[in-house]
Amino acid sequence: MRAVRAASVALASLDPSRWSRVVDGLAGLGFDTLDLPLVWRDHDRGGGRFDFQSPRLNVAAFLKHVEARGLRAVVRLGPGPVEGLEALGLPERVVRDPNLASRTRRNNPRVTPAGLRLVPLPSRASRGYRFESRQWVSAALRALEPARGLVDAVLVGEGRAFSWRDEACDGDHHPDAVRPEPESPVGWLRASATHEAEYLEALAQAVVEAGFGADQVVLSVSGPLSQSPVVPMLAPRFAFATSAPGPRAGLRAIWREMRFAEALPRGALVTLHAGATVTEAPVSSAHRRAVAELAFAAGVERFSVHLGAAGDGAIGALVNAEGEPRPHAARWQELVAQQRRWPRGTEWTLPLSHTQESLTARLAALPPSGLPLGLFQSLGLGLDDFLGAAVLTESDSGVLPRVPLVAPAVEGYAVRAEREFPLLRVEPEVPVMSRCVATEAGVVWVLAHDHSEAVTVTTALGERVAVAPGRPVAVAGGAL
Amino acid sequence: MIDAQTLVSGFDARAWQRLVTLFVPGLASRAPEAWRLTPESRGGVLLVLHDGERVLRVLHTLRGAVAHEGPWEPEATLSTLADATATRFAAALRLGAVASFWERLGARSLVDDTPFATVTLVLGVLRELLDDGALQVLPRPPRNIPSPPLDMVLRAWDAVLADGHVAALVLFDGDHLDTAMAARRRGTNLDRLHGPEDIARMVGPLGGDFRRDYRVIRAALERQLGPLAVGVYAPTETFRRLVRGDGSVDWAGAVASRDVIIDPMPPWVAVGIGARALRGVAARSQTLLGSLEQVGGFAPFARGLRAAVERAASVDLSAYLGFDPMSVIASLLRQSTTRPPDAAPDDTR
Repeated sequence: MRAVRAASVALASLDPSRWSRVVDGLAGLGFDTLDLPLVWRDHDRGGGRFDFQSPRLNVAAFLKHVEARGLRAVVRLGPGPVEGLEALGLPERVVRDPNLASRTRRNNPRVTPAGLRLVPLPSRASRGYRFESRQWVSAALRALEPARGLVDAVLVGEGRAFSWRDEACDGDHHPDAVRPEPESPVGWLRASATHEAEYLEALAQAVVEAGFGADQVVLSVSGPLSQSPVVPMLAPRFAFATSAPGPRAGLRAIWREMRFAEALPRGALVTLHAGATVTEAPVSSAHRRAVAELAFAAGVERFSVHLGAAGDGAIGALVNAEGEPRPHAARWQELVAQQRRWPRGTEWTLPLSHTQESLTARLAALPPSGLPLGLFQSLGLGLDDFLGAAVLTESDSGVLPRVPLVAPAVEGYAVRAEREFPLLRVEPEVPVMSRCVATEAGVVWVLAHDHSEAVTVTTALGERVAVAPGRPVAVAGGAL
Repeated sequence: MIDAQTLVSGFDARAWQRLVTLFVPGLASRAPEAWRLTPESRGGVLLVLHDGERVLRVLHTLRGAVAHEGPWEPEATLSTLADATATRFAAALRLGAVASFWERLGARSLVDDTPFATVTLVLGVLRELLDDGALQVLPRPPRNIPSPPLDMVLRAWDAVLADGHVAALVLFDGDHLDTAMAARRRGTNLDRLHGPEDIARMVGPLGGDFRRDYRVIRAALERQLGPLAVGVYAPTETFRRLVRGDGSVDWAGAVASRDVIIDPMPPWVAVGIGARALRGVAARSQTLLGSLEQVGGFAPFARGLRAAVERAASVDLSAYLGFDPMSVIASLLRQSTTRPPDAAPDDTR
């Protein structure tokens, strides 16, 4: 997947008469791609019929504006392509069909909050739900057929940043689900991962059957990619999408998750956030941009800014319902323009493998609290805090980068021994998030930290640089 | 109540942050580096996981994992750990409590539940877990107050904002609109939440003095959205000090001196503001209380209150209820955080 600088457009919330202005507005802010989440619930008419012709739902018509402006597109089909959707974006007939619902041990529906409503989660193991989901994906891609050449990537899977029901042992007891024998945390984790992987593969297959390449498929899972057992299973074949944690997660969690995503074999599309829905805690635009800057410094080069343009229902979109950029859009424009200043090259890392087995073992070792891991990541609490054991992660490995790799060899990454890294001294000795990038011009360090005071780094070249908290910098580290 | 049908429009990130943090200052946005987990942090939320006999994990939202090994003692452990970590808000979960929570919700919720029904159901299940001892929280909730039945909640909602009516909060920074919200009720829910961008469009140019502009704003909102049930107009800082109750200004005095304009002022606001405002703003307290009596759920309360007014020619909510609800709210807001809002000035301007 090429570098992507996208902004999302909430198509159905915008008056079609404003579409042209919206496209112009986002192109003017420096975005080269528009990200279109299509919501199953909006298009579904039941009985295998879908509406892509109503004025606000005519995505093919919108793509003509995109083409005219020389932009590209990515589409998100979900089910559940983004957060804050009514009933998770699912058609009412799907929500109300008990045969499609995931079940608890006592055969109750596994409900999850969607705003102030409790919605039964669909079962990914259910053959009926898999059929319905594939039917939706196929129909949406048929509607995109006239503009297929414009679409660089198709995102399928769960687009919410985290789920309230992602705990390890909250297994699906739907009749189509496989129950582990004997029942154990590891067994349930493997069963759950298998169901999700099969489901995502079925959606990916629908995309490929519609004429797209497998390299254009991007899979979405809710919650942190680094804690999903599905990711090591499918990352060698497919790219993944993930949502950058909010500022509340803290600098280290943001850095770790972005580094993990960027080091996946097929790469990742990272969702950054310009705004939010009314049910989320408010975040200032400046702090959202701070997250984006950290993501860029961590090496993210395929990103999409959520709420690029939106009408009713969103707070803080860059472009409003009239197609006019809001005042903070200019700040985002500066940030996006500076994204390319971060170094590109071969990333050096200390060895740290990340396999399905190792992650499953760690997840199974958690006390069965029933609490969602995604919620804890959003608060900056990681798996290691739950495990209560000292596990080496990037945050406590000193200054040298240690990126978890899901495959023995990942293009663009080189595993190095500690002695091979060029000298970098940090005063005072506090944890610093780092990249060590071998470029044609030599080694470049990218550094960020959350210590309360500025730290001073000294490179092999003898250069001393003061690094302020929360302000990532790139520093020349010497010749190769 | 809001739901997925609620149309939200006209907010930018800054206006929304300014509005929400007036009421929940603990939600004030901070930069990523400011959220570093450190053992010295104060505040935050403590979470204790136990199996009924031993403490299994202790996590803190501002400190990370807290090292602790020892037995679980139902009446003591949570308070002890909260004291040791300088934390006011804490929760202890017995293994299986969360699974039980979801199981009960799954068994009882209906796809057609309204947001009110959902909230009532969730609160009811939480109460059951508290009563079972599967969940403990600090500060401890009063145990002898029953959860209100749904119809009483709906009657109270009718009294606060009747169907088809609009409530507005419009706050000013100097001579310009700082943040604002106009909410309209349709059925049991709010169908529209309009932010300052929309309100500015509806109202048009303002003179810059909220004491005069409020009439224009009220007229525009009533023209565009429907009859206003309550409208509050004030400088943002004045309103912030009022809701936090820091003692530098009080509602009654602020209303009397027109540092805050409330127009229209429904009975529940007048009563809530207290006796001084009731006397100062509306000598028609008997009428106001009479209209409260029309609301079924409040009738006994209002009759008693009317008697108190007649006896003392004033209303003293503290004496009548045994506590002052406005003080309680202000106290909670004061203690929830000492962190000032941190909306960077470059957000929108």
